[in-house]
Amino acid sequence: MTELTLEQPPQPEQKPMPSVQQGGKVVVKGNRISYSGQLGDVYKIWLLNIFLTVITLGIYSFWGKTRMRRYITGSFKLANDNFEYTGTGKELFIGFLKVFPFFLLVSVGLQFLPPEAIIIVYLPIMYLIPVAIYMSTRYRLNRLTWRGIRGRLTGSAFRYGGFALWRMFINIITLGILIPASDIATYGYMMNRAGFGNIRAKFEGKSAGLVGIHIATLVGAVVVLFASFGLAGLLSAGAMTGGGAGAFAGLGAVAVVLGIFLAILIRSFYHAALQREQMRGLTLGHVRFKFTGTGYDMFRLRLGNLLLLIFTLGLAMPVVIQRNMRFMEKHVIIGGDLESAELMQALREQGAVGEGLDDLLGLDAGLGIG
Amino acid sequence: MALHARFFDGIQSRPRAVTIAVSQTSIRLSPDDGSAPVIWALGDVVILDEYTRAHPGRISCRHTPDARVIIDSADGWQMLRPHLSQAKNLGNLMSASWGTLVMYAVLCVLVVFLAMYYIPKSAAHLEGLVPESAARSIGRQVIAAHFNAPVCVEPKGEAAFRKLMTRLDSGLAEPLPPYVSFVVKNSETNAFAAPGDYIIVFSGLGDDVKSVDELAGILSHEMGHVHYSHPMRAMMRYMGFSFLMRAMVGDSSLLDAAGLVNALRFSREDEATADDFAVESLKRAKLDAGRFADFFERHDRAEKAMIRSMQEITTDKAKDKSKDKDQKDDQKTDAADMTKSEAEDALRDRVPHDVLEYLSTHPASEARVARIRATAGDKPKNYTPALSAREWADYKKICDKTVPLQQWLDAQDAIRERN
Repeated sequence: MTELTLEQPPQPEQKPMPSVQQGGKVVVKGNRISYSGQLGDVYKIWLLNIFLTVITLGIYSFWGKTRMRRYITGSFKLANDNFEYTGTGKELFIGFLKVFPFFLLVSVGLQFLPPEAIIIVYLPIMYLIPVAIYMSTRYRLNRLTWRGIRGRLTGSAFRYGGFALWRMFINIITLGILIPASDIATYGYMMNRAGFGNIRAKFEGKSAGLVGIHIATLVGAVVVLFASFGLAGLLSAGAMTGGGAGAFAGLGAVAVVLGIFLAILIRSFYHAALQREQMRGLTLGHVRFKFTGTGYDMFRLRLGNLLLLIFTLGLAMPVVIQRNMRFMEKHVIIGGDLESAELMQALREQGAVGEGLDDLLGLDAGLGIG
Repeated sequence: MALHARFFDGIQSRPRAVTIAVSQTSIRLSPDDGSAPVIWALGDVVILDEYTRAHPGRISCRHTPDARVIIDSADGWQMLRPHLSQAKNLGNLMSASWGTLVMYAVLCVLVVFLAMYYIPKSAAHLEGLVPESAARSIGRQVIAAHFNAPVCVEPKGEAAFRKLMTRLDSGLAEPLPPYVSFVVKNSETNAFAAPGDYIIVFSGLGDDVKSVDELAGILSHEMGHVHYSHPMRAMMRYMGFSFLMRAMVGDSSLLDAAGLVNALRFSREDEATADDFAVESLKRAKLDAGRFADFFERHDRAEKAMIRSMQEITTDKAKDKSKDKDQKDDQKTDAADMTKSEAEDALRDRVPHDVLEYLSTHPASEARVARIRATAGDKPKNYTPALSAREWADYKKICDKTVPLQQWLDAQDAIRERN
């Protein structure tokens, strides 16, 4: 794959220049995406969604989610045109209704199964998680439009589920060493089936450059986790022998939670590197992508978000949403001449079943936008 | 009138500059490049975004949902907007003003209070719909999670325990569903009824009671919970509440963190009903129901002693502080200065921990004691003790031999299946 160099991106109103060849390297004009969402508006939508969700005992959440996605997606602009989320609450609700009976059946069935048979239920759930991610990504890409042209994702979600489960198995038997290869492979599987309008996306990312940072952060995260669990164990042992059981157990729980948070923060350095590679290897026709965020940038973003949510008991969620969107605005560059990229509409795909699965499995497969 | 806009036809991404002309029934989009005009009936127009400083105005057509007309200027939107009164408006994302939000917030609080009262209460009535096997499975999960201790099976002690249970069974007005009762090795003073008709007795209870009749009273009380399916009802109440939390806020982890044992705590009415059941059963079994009241009276006294201790500790501490401060001669005394945790720590030294444990799940009170005494009456004339002194001594050694909980429960389940 040719090395990509991006010049200083122009302001959104400036038209990007055509690609230029310079000594074997492709130099393309970078286009910034801009985000115009306002904190007050996000707060209003967020509060309204909470109140209406509570009042309707949860039913409104599908419409609420749509309302927020519409606002956030619509606040992103590329080359003077806004993105748009065209999904509806009704679609999400119907998707949920289609999947709900299955989950009801599983959760009731769990009560009757002997404990040793529980693996029979959990294995399909492990399989369904990537299936749900794929279906939900398909739905959201299909409802994402720019200049009237929709995104798309073809291929079978169930095959992807099998592939992702296989990679999960490989990750386990190699003690996590092949996680970068799996991350790149599963992302590539999906992106090579994605596209915008009539133009297919192509992914040629490599995992080799990620191994070093992966091993370093994985070891760091594992050490921190072991230390926190060990500390919790010592504290609970202290609780058994001495008095003040409640206080010791409480401290142990705090140690475990802090350990998990710290491990996630350490892994930010790998996740930023992964995201850089994911964007570097992705092309959409002549359009290229670049993520400029460093590990430290992502570490600061996550740490700030975590502290905001903890110290406000979740009330700062809209601030966190804004921070994430501004982060993306700052660090994602889209290279290429967008004006000459003649996108043509592709066929629409129906259904939000994957979103229903997503909801029930407690997932949130982000597309990056909205 | 005529205004300029950008038009995306929903087929190609290339924008086309158009001039919009509005008639009484339609809008006409005439591309500046001379290609064929597009005409949309006003009734088919959909407003996707109202014009704001951050967003251009955007409209589409019901029949070509991917097509977009973008009006970038405020003036243009002001010219067009009055003609779109029939259009379906999807652009009112921000209709909620802060005032409306406050109104919704108040409504929200009201709904939460009503739902928190009625939904768990109604869920309790669904207890009868839970199949026996599911109830047993839930019961085993609860036991494994919260009472996981070895089961006491020393043969003579167990024989004494079975004899006591058989005697209590003889006093029942109608037989209980096949229940499973057992003693677990745990030094706390407690006994529980769990979903699936399980009665779990902590070995510490046998050490705390002053007579076998006191123990018989407590066991009868737990049998009352089984008779009225209180554990399953409490579980359903908990599940109703949990469902409510999940539906409303998408998460019930806070509730889960509070622990199932707390969720299984019975209501005061449940406790009173189980007490009545126990007294009637004890009387029919020709046992001394008054001793059941003794147990609660003792714990009521312990509770009061605890409160007195707390007051004394607080006052002592205040006096100490006052003395110190008098010496400094420039500060005031504050009797309430002692923190709650300091008082609790000090209390732990004076009141046995297991008493606190029992009181947390079975509140003792004068009213409760009086109620039991009133219905218990005198010791029956044809009273015979539930266990002989020898058997009672055997019972106290029931934990000399134990088996793992899961193994014991599996064996009991197999027996229940056969029956």
